[in-house]
Amino acid sequence: MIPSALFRPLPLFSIAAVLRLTLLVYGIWQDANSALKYTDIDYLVFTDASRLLAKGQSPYDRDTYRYTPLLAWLLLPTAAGPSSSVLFSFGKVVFALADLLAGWLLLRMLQARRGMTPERSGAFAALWLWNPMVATISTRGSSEGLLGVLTAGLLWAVERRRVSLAGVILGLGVHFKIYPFIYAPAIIWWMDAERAGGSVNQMRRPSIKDRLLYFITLSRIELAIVSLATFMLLNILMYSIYGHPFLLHTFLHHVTRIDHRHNFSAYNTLLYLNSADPSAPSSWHAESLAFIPQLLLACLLIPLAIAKKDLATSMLAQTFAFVTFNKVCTSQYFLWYMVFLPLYLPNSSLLRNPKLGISALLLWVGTQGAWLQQGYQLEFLGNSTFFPGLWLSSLAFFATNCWILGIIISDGASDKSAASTQ
Amino acid sequence: MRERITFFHPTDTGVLPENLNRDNGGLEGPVLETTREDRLTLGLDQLPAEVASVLNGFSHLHVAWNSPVAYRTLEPFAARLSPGLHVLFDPTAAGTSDKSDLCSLIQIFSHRDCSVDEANHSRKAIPTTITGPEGSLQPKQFFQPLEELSHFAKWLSSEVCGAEDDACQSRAQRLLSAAGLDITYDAASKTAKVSAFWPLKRQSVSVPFSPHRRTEVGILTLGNPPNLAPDHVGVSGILTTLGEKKQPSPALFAFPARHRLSSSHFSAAFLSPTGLHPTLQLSLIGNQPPKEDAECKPYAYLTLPKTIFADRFQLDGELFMASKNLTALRATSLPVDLEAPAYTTGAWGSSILLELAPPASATTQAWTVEVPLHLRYLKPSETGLESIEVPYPAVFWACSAEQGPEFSQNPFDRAHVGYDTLFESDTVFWHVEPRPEQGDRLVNTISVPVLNEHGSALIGVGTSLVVALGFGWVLWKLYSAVAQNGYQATPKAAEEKKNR
Repeated sequence: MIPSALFRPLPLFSIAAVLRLTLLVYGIWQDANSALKYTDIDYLVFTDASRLLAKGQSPYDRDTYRYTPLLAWLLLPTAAGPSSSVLFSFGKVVFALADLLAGWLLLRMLQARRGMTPERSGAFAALWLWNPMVATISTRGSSEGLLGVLTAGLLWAVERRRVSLAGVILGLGVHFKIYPFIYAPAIIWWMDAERAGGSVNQMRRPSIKDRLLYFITLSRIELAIVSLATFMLLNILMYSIYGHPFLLHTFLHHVTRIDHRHNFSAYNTLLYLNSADPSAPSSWHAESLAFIPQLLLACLLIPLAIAKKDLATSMLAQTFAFVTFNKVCTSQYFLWYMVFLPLYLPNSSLLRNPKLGISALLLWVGTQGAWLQQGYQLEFLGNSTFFPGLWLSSLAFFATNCWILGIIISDGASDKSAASTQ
Repeated sequence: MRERITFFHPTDTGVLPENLNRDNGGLEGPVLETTREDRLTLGLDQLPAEVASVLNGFSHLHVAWNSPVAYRTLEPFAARLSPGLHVLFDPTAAGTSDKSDLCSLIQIFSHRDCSVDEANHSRKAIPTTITGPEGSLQPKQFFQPLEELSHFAKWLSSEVCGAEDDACQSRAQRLLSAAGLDITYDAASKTAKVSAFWPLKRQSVSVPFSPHRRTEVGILTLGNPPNLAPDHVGVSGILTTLGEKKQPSPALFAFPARHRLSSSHFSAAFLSPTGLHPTLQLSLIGNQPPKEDAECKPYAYLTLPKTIFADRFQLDGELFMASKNLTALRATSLPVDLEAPAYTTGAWGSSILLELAPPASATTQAWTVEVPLHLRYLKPSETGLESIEVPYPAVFWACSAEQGPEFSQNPFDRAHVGYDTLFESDTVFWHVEPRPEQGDRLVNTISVPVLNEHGSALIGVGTSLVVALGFGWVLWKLYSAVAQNGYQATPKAAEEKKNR
């Protein structure tokens, strides 16, 4: 086993940094010496957009740039030189640093829990910090690592009762990638008077009006106003500079896209079928109702049931539900919930009951592997595996995810896990 | 209405004037290995009214068709295009942005109505524009695969010829064996030129006389007039005008040529397996430029139907391009959606101009070029597979000419063929002959995996059922969790909070 001394902060972060530095340097080497690039296609989209920005153009002049202009701004230094220059990797360094910062926030939150030795909290933080998948994704230049630090930062700010900061992060996160809005109801619900340090209602039988008044606390109002203001200010600013293309590519595109191309989502084959023949009278359009189970779970039911007991686990379950029930799902989306795993696992039944944990892991990897195998047959060999191969494996992966989600929910609601966070 | 018929034969054959029979005003000659071009020049008022009104919407129009069947040719008929029907046009200032004009034009060649996609009720046939050298104005372009000219021939014989005009009727029939067709219209001169081309093969040198038009006939071969200027083609032979008493007169003249034949040839094939990201491999024989004293670079001009496209962002980076024996992507038509399925794509397809990187060795050698492409999703089918056809590209060496030749002096010039306007106006194109590896078609077929229709019913029900079950399971877990433990913070946690 790994000596526990390595989980102390200094070696913990040194190893995480060395891992990313090695991948970064290796990536530069591979890009310079092989026709097969290490750098993610998306990174070329971001940096092209930054280059356009540097020339005074709109980042949306780059096809398939579907992000906030903030990302292109952030990566402006990459536009200073050719793609062979050191500065070109600036964005990857930012993403990798974001990983490390997210890891540090996770560690702080773990340390704040009762009965956790520094080594034990370090070991759980290492699930994120030393995770090769996380390190690879950010050093290849995918921006998902930024979401990791935003969501971890949001939870950290809430747990530390830094309401304004939480509001700013929440507004920024939703502006960046929409989906973090699902955390708003959980945080609001969690922030009751006891936690927020307001006056505790002592009435035995409060009326509905009293309950309502009791619900509306200063910190809840503060969070709502600050997050909404941040979100709207950013949008107004971007809209005033980049106009309609900003709205179109950052938000509207994600509402109207067809997502006909094969991906992990259970809806995928149905979407392809119905997009090809939208007028077919016999076809089921279940996908047009897909947002109902997705939003019911992610925004309402899960936060109501477990946010007050264990906010971190609630956010994990919400993200997990959002990704599982989404109409499009790629492996980068897994990063969205992986950032919460170190906070959930310490008290989870997946660890308490190794058989359960190993079964869940094997099923999650196995059904994904089956899908990837079918996807390889389709994408590279040209075999028509859409039906039944890809369809069945995506349903199997979906079923596995639902089962795991059930476990996470049970854990989050049980008194054992009962977040011994402050 | 004027007509010009030109036979070009190899220099080692020929026909003596005394072997030409000129009874009945027409011309009867022997069977000879030769090419043939018929060119008809018409005023706008000599065209059917519906066609004339369509042409009025364009300031310049070039419709060019090349046969998908491999053929041999001779200079000066060296120009090559991807097989299929190409339309290049400049709308008039009044604006023929409405594509109904384009579509009614294309309906002369194909029974498919290009303005409406029956299955989707969506508009298609959106023309594209290729980006040229900075500031240069490029025509709009449209392409559609077209196997043969039978629809056009039928239209000609019923709408244009008139039942009793036998010469015209047989002319229309002959189009079925043509290898190329060009129709150009210029608003400035209000004239349309229609040229049909028959490839090098044994055919009879005979032209019937028609009193309806003046017909010039030339029987020519490459010749060497004295003081032949660089980039010029010399021609010798005999010229005559039908219906006139004069004997055929000998001719020796020269003109600058935009299109030349290089001595090399190539074939194109997709690497197996094609998957969803097929690679088109061009196998070229000969890496030497056709001209030593000029600056020459090899290019491939691809015309891709909407089912397949090149990612212009992928075709970048020195190492990547060099590994495919490519130098750079020099031009691409726009718009090209990089994600949409074929059935929601409005544009007809796309065209790209790639500069190739030949091996530098001094000795002649064979080499290959790889072009990475991507398939769009197609509609589900009965078998789970759909065949698509991808025409051969035009491959050529583009060489700078020595002293700005006036290509328009060339009576056989073929301009506005899609790629020529992407180069300096004095560029000479040395064409590499396309030769299929197997068979005689200049088209590659790919089998595209699509969703099998047999699953349609099950996919709808099955997906809904599984999602409902999964959702139900999670709801049940939520319910039992809340029923057991409530939703409030546990006393322990609450206690802790108070003690803080």
